[in-house]
Amino acid sequence: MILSPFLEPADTYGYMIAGYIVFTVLPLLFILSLILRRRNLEKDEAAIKSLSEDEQKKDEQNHTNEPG
Amino acid sequence: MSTSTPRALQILSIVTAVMMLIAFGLVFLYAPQERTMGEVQRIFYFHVPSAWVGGLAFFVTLVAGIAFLRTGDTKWDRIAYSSVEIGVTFATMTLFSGMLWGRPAWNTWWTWDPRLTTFTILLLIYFAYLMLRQGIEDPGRRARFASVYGIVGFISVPITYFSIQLARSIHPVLFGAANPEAEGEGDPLTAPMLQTFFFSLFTFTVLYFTLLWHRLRLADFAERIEQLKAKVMSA
Repeated sequence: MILSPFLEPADTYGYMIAGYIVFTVLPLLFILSLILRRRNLEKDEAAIKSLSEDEQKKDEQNHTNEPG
Repeated sequence: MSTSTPRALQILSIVTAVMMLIAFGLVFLYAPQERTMGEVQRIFYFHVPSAWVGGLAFFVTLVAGIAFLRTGDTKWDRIAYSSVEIGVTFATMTLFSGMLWGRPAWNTWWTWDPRLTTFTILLLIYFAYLMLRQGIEDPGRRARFASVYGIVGFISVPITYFSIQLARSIHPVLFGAANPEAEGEGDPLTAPMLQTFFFSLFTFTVLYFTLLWHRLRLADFAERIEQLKAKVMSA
């Protein structure tokens, strides 16, 4: 195929924009998933800590209530 | 327990973001328009680096899998798992952006070309890695299984890379075509095009390591929570 220098390039602007939306959105979704997963883990950590503190308090109370 | 981001990672994240902005600037403002395909050719500047990051991520999974099987250190399993997640993200980007390029270039969204077919199989192999991991409860067994799977699964990467050199394909060959006819009849890349491409390639490589570090910190955190849960349950 011989390309004429007078030939206009094809109008493919829309495809290019769609491509760069893919390049932007997918990494951002991955980063968002990292943030959400960290937030969930922080909630888990807080819940475990409060559970373990409750258990500790119960143990201490049981020790003080023991006769003798 | 401190979960604050290390200073070096904060700096790396900022540097990566700046490099990404520069890469976008080069793609849209510096690289000239290709005269046959028009604007859609600009997809190439991020499409190839995305595929490169996919291959790099799966190679890291291979190395980490071997290291885990040799040492038994679960740190390697966390690296392998984190790397697969990033690899799958970038490989998915490659597939979709390729389809968007293929529609105006080949007049079809999809064709069962050797490169497209092998790449899809590769992507499915690593999607399966992520799903199969979820199905194994025992952490030791899961890590061993994932390591072996990551090593065997890597075979799909060179098969995908060399598919266009070994079989007849309509996919463009950028470098190292065994058959010069496979390089197509398009214009060679001009200097600004090559500069933009190599800068994007370098930026995506930096982006991969930044994301891997962040993902690894999350995996370490998850591991600590699991240990904490086990400690509370056993008390």
